[in-house]
Amino acid sequence: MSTTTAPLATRLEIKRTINASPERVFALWTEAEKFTQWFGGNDFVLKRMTGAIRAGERLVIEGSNGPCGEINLEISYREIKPTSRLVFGWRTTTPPMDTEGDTTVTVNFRPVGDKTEIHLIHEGFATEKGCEAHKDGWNHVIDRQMKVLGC
Amino acid sequence: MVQQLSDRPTRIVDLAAPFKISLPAISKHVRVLEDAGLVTRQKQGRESTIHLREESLSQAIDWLERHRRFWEKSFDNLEAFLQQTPQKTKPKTKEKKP
Repeated sequence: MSTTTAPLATRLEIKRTINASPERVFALWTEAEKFTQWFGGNDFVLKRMTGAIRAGERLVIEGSNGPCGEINLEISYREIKPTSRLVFGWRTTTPPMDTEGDTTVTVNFRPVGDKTEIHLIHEGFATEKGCEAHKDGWNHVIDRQMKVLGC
Repeated sequence: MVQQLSDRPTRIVDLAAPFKISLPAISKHVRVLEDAGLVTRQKQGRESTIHLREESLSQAIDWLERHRRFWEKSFDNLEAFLQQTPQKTKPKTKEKKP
């Protein structure tokens, strides 16, 4: 009798078309003073940001997220291709998410007429520790897997 | 398939039964779930029983939902920020078409 296990891996994709040129949208991601104006989730409040948005460098973001408390995040810039592509490492350094390890975010910017399509892929999550289940998310995982199989 | 696995561990042959696809095809589906760490395969002789890794399922769902909400909200903020800061008017240059 034998049991096989594999590390858990997930991949998150979001596409959004923004009513602005790629130059303008890209600047919001790569100019620190603009980045801080919009970056964050529902209850995320930015407290401090250090570092630089440059390939090979890191941005350290300190903030709080409502009932979750302090959240510190490290973003390591791997590739910055002006107006079209951005790749960065993403690591939460505050518990309990500090166990989630390094993940990778790839953002592609594509002109669509006068607008810009942002295609974000956040992937690489692999850990043995986790929190509570939320059933809706399962369908996304399954859908992607069925696509891999060509179903 | 997943619904069935959430009820109880199931043999591959029983997983295939409700679907009009072959055993190797079902096995491929299971392999994808296995590679993602969402199910485990327990072999007993020539038979395999598939178990849903409920803990992993929770981890995947939690991670996906948390980050999806984070990015969706960030994009909302980004759009709102763009609306608050209108673009400086620049003369448009037309591209020459071949």
